[in-house]
Amino acid sequence: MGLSTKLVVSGAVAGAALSYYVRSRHQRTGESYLSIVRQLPGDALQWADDTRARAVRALEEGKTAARGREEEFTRQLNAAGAPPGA
Amino acid sequence: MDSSFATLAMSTPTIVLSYAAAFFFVVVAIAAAYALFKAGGTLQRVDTVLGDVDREAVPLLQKAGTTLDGVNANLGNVDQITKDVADITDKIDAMATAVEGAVSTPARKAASFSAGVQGAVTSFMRRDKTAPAGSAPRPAEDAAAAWSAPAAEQASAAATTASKAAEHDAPAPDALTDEPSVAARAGDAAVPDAAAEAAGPVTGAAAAESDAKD
Repeated sequence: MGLSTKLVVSGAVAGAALSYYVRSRHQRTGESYLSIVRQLPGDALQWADDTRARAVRALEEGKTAARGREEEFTRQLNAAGAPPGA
Repeated sequence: MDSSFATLAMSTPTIVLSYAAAFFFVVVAIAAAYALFKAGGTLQRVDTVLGDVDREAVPLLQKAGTTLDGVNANLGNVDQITKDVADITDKIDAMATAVEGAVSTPARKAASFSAGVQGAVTSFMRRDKTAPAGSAPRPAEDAAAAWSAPAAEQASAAATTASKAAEHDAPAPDALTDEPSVAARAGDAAVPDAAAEAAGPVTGAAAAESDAKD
């Protein structure tokens, strides 16, 4: 597959996805096609910002959960290896 | 005659005593001889027993010494076995410790990693209304989703008006190069507000319900 073919296929896929998004949003909100297309960069940036913020928050919460699980596991191992009555 | 009678009368007890003493000594001699004879027999038996003991005790003691040597050798073997068992126990303890360390640490890390991934995925998939960047478009979508037929025309007109106002306020090159998100967010935020206002209380209640669902 040559580069031009890849570009054409990629453009076709991107166009189809864009058309589907615009059409579905038009059906959902009733906005005009021009308005939807004009708001696409802003929506994309908002989605990127939202995803980035959610990813950062998810990473922090994942770290916290992993630390808590490791501490709990260590505590359970120490309790299992401790002599009776200790 | 009187004198001989007197002499005889005076010597009779002495003679009697002499015979009595002689008889006594004879009896004593016979008893002593009998006792010595018995003692001799007894001593003969004792001598025989001691001879038997001398003849049999030495091999017995030699056998006992040999047996004790064997017992000592076996005790040495038992001591060696005990040491080997102690060494094996120490090695098993060290091996168990090593296996525990080699297994528990990756298991702990894997459990922590899985818990972290689970928490991160759960947090990432959870819709948070307090998200600063993602909260803006959601009311617009919810309000648009609650768009109803009677208010459709008014909402469309309000959206068109807001789009024109945003297009007029923010020039197109600026919206695409320097601050595209600001202009788009302004237009996007203006649309749902206008649509919500135009749609009236029905659309506002639907938007509030959608927020409550989130």
